[in-house]
This record gives sequence, structure tokens and C-alpha cells, in this order.
Amino acid sequence: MTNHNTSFHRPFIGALALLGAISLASLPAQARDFPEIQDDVFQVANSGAYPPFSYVDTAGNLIGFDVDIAEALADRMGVEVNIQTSPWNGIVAALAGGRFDACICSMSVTEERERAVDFTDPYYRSGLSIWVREETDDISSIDDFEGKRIGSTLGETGNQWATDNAEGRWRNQTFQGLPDMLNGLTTGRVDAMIADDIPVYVAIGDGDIAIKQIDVGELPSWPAAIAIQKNKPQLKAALNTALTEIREDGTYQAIVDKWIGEGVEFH
Amino acid sequence: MDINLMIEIAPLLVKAAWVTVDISARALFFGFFIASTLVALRTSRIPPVRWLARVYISVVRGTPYFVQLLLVFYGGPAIGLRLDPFTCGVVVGAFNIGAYMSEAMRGAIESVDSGQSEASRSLGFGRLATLQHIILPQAAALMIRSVGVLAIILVKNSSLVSIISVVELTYQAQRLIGSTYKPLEVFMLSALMYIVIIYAVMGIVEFLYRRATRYTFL
Repeated sequence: MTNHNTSFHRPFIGALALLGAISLASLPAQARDFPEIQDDVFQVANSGAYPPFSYVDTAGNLIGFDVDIAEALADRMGVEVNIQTSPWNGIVAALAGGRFDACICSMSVTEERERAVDFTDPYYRSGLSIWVREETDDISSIDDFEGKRIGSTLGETGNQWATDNAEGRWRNQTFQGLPDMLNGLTTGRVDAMIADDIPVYVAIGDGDIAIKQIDVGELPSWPAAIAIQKNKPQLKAALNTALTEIREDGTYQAIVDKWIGEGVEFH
Repeated sequence: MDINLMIEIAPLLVKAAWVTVDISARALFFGFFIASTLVALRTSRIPPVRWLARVYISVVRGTPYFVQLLLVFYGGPAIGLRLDPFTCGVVVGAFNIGAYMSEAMRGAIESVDSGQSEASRSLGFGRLATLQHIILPQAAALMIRSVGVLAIILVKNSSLVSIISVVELTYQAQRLIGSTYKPLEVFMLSALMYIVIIYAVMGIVEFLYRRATRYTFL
């Protein structure tokens, strides 16, 4: 069961209700096998601002690929799950500080992050892509970035790539999320943007956003994995086993088809 | 402009606006007690107690509210202080606004004419009775409006608790951008709700001010 409607107010009533729910509903026996999760409920976070992986629909429900993956994994592990949103730029700090048990939030594995948290096996690979406005005709390679303003999202691998490779050739502008950045590109605040490809495909698929992708050759790609706190071998093993299981029984592919689209190369 | 979308998301934003009101009201409530304590400490006869209060007020007023939130929420767990997001917002908000409010209260108390106190004492009222019956009723009228301004600042500052994942008006609006890609509509609606809340606060402040000044010529 998930509680997407993060009712942070009235923590007392919430805690009482939770205690009541736990004492009334007999938990699955396996739940006891995971002393490494807090409160018998698997607390999972994502940014809630990264469609189609995690976002809030106009009815207020938290939905997306990462949400379904989290529910499928919790189901395999036999634990209750509570999925909440946490702002992306503080999500690693919040995880390391024990605010939740895992980030199932399309997080790319990077060296910096591995210093603070631990990662499971990858659950997909995400690639970078470069986008310009439909009418832009003077950018067709990285060399054309010279003197331009390039957008990327804070805390994403594209941001790191843009920062590491600029060497004074272009100016970087950092956005808080993809919606902000798309807005920045279409309104001319930046001349090009670098972002994970799948979310952009989905965003331009169901909106009237006049941008186009440019092929600049090979860009690095990173594995996305589940982040957990360090020194939790049992939780890590349980998540890895559950990941293998949902891949083998077709659950994973069904979730991919639902959110990413059938026939899209995604693994 | 997409009016239908605004109608569709209005209930969600109203709910989030209620969280904004809730967190601000609680912070104001506890902030009032913190402010009163600070005023008492600042007028203490023991110098170190007075210094402590002054240092506290300087630290709070000398650092951005945003940084205070980040420090307590993300830094707190490192020293064993783990508050849930809503509680953290209330606590930091109360300690923040308490420092400002204590200055407003102290200013109001000090601006009551000293003759009032002398007259009261000469009529046989004690120190505490003078404060309770003579000074505070007059100071209250003086401090209501300045505390009201602080309450308005508190409501607007509550948008910053979005960074610690409290789903209040601003964070909910930001989250809705992710599925709607309509910043104009979403943020206009949330701005409108802030205006409604702040006008309500101003109304309450004026009402209290008129009540407090019923029998005076302030």
C-alpha cells in the first residue's frame, strides 16, 4: 500500500494511525527479515518532478516508472512501501541523513554520490541528449556551443558533463528541473540544453514544445540505480534479488511498456 | 491561458494552501512564546542571561531563513536531531520569527511612557502588577501591527520550506509543473492564494488592533 498524499501535517495523528494500522494488519512474515529498514515500512523517495519517471498528476497522485518499480520491488520483498517526494537537490543528503530507506529516483551512479551513499545493481541506463529550439540552425556540434548559453539540471549528470567540458568555451546555466529547463530553452534563456534523453522524449511527446534533438555523436551514459544508505548489505541484497525477479517474470518489461513506450530501446 | 487547467488543479492547491496556513499559524503561535521568553531574558538582572538572548537574536537575524532550514533539516540528523519535514518547518519558523518578534515586543514595551510605570508604582502596584495591568495593555496595542507585519513575512517565507519537502503551496505548484508544463497558470493560481491568505491575516490584524485601541487614543 502506498501513501502518496504526503500528509506531513498532524504528524501525531499520522503516527497514531500508522501504529494502529501496523497492529491491526498482520504484516507479511518476511518484513521481519529486513531489520535494515525503518518502522517496518519501506520508505522510498523520488523527486516527483521528473516525468515519466516520477511526477504528480493534476489529481495529486504521485505516479511514474520509478513509482511502479518501487511498488513492484516492495511487493517482491514482502514489505509495505511508502513513496514520498523530496526535492532533487537535497535528496542524497536526505537519504544519507536517514530520512528514508531508498531513493528509487532514476539516480545515475557517480563517484561523488558513491562517497555518500551505496547503490544497488543498475535498473536502467540513461543517455544524455542535446536539444535546441526548432528554428535554431547554427548549432550542430559541440564546437558550435562556443559563446552560447547551455542549460542543464542541477545534480544531474548532464550538468556535470557541461561543467567539466566547458573550459570557458560556453556559459552554463543550471536549472532546478526539466520543466524549468524546457521553459528556459523555449523562451530563449538558453540556446541549447543537455539532459537525459527519455524524459525529454516524453515531454515533447505530449506537449507542443518546439525543440529538436541534435546529433553530436557519442555522449556518455550512466547506469541508474537505487541509492541506499551505506552499510546495509541485507537491504542491498534483497533489492538486487527483487530486481532480478521482476526482470525475469516480465513485470519490469510491463512497467517499461507502460511509461517509456513499447519498442523504445530501454534496459 | 488555460482556465480549465486552473480549475482542475485548484482543489490541490487549496489543500496545499491550507498546509501553508497551518505551518505559519503554528510557527506564529510557538514563536510568540519564544519571543516572550526572549523579552524576559533580555530584561533579566543577570548579565550572562541577557548576553545569551542577544547572541541568539543576532545569530537568527544575521542568517537567512533558507540557510537555517537547510542547516536544521539536513544537518540536524548528523547530531541526532531528526525532525519530520512539517515539524522542522514549524520549529525553525518559530525560532526564526520569535527572534524578530521579541525585538518588536521589546520596542513596544519600551515605548510606553515611563510616567505610566512611575504613576502605577506610586499608586502601590507591584512590579509585576504594573507590567500586567498598566504596561502590557498599552504595549499590546503598539505591537499588534508590527507583529502583524511579521506574520505576513512568515506566511511568505513559508514558501521556503518547499526545500525540505513539505508539500505546501509553492512545492505543490512546482510539482504540478512537472505534469502540466504550464508555469503561468500554476504559479498565478498559487500567487492568488497567497494574496487571499495575506489579506486574511491583514484583516485579523486590523480587527485586533481596533479592539486593543478601543479605549485609548493611540
